[in-house]
Amino acid sequence: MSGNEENSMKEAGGCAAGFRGKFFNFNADAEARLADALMAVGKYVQGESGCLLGHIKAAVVNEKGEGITLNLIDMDNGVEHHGTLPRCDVVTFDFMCAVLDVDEHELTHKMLHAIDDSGIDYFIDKESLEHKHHHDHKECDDPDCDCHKHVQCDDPDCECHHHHHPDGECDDPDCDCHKHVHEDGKECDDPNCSCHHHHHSFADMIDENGHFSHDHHHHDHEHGECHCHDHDHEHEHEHHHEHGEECHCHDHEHHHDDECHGHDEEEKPKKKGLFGFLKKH
Amino acid sequence: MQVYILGGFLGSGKTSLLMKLATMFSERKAKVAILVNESGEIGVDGATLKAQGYDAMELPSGCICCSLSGTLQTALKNIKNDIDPDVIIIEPTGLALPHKVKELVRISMIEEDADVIIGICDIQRFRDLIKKKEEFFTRQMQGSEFILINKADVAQPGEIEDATAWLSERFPNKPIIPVSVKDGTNLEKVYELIK
Ligand SMILES: Nc1nc2c(ncn2[C@@H]2O[C@H](COP(=O)(O)OP(=O)(O)O)[C@@H](O)[C@H]2O)c(=O)[nH]1
Ligand SMILES: [Mg+2]
Ligand SMILES: [Zn+2]
Ligand SMILES: [Zn+2]
Ligand SMILES: [Zn+2]
Ligand SMILES: [Zn+2]
Ligand SMILES: [Zn+2]
Repeated sequence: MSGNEENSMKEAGGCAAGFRGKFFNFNADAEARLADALMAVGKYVQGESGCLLGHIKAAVVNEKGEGITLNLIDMDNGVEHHGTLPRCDVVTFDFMCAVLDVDEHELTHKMLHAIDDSGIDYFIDKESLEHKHHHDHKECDDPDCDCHKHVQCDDPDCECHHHHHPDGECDDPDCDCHKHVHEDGKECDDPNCSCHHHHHSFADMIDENGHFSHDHHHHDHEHGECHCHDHDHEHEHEHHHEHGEECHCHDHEHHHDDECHGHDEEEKPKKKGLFGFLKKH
Repeated sequence: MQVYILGGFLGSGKTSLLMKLATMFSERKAKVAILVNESGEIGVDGATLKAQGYDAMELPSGCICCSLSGTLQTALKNIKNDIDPDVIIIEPTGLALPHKVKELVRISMIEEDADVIIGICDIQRFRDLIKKKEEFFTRQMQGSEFILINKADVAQPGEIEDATAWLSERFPNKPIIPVSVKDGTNLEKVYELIK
C-alpha cells in the first residue's frame, strides 16, 4: 500500500449521489412512476459510461416502518421491486445512485429531474442535498486521506478541499478552483471557469414546497454562460418536450438506439408537467 | 465473536446475502448484529433491511476516505458493549476495499475471534466489470477467504466456467463457489464454510 494511494471510490472511478424526501398519495401508480424515474437515470448513466455498472435504488417507507425497495442494476432486466406497500398518504423516500464513470453533479441533476418529471407528488428534503462530508479532519487519522494534501493551501479560510475530494476532483493546491469557491456553494462568475458547475448547490434550487426549482436553467444566463450546458445540451430534448407533440428525441442521433421513453409516458400521461414551459422558449 | 465482512462491487448481492446469513445465524440461535455503509450520503440498504425486519445499524457515510475509520471503530465498540453479539456482519459500500475494512476492525480492539472476508461477484456483470475495472475488482477480491460467484440462476451457459477460470488463475488458493442468493443454490456450502 503506497502512501499516496487514492481512496477506493476514486480508484474505482465511482461516484454516488442521492437525496431523500417525502411522497404524497403513494400507490401502485406512483410506484410505477418511481420505477420510470430510475429507468430515466439508468438511461443517462448507460449513455455516459457505456454500461450501467453500479446501481440506482430507491427505498420507500411508511410511518409504520413498512417499505419497498426498487433496484435497477441492469437496463435489460429493468427495475426490481422488493416488498409491498399499501396505499399511503405520506411516505419517506431515499433515492440513491452509485455508479462508475459519470459526473456526480450531473448525476444529481438528472436524478432531481427524474423525480420532478415523474408526476409523483413529492417533497425533497433540501438538507439531504447539502454536502455533509465535512467531517472533522482533526480526527482523521488515515494517512492516505486526500484531505491532508490541502495543508499546502495558503488561505487559512479556504474550504475548497471539502468540495473537491469526494467528487474525485483535483487535489492540486495550485488549481484555479481554489481561487473562487469561497461563496459557499455559489458558482463563480468567471465565464471561462470550467469547474464552477461542481460548486453550485442543488439545495439552493429546492423551493419552500420541496420542489426542484423550474428556472435553474435560466439563472446562469444572467451572469453569462452556464457551463453546465456545455456538456448537457441534450438535456432539454430528453424530457422537456410536451407529450402529444412531436417527440424531439428522434431529432438526435444519440437516441436512435434507445427506445424513446417519451412513448412509454404517452400511455401514462403526466399528472403535472412542471417543465412543460421550458421548451416554449 | 465472529466478524464477517461482505466484499463485492455495487449490486453484486451483498445485502441479499447478508439477509440470508443473518436469518441462518438467527435460526441457529446466534445473536447477530448488522452494520451497513453505503456510498454517498443517502443509504437505501438500511431502510431495506429495517423494512424487512432486520435490526441493522447504518454507518453514516459521507467522506469515503475516512468515514469508516472513526465511525466504524466507535460503532463496533458500542455493539460489543451494548449487544455483545455472537456474530457481526459488515456490508461496506460496493466501492470499498474490504481488506481495508478488515484492518479497521482489527485495530478497533473488540477482541473478535475471527474476521472473515466473503468475496462476492455478479456473474451477469463479470465481463463488463473486468473490462472496465479489472484492477479495482481484483483488489476488492484480494483479501477474501473465498469467492462466491452470485446470480448463478441467470448465468448464460459457460459464463460460470469462464469466471471460475479467471478467478482461480488469480487466486489459486481461494475456494470459488457459484451460488444463487436468490434461489438458495449452494448456500448450504457457504454456511458450512463459515459456521
Ligand atoms: N437473479 C438474481 N438476482 C440477485 C441475486 N442476488 C441478488 N440479486 C439482485 O441483485 C440486486 C442487487 O442486490 P443487493 O443485495 O442489493 O446488492 P449489493 O449492492 O451488493 O448489496 C438486487 O436487485 C437483488 O435482488 C441472485 O442470486 N440472483
Ligand atoms: Mg447493499
Ligand atoms: Zn479525511
Ligand atoms: Zn473545482
Ligand atoms: Zn449546474
Ligand atoms: Zn436541469
Ligand atoms: Zn473530507
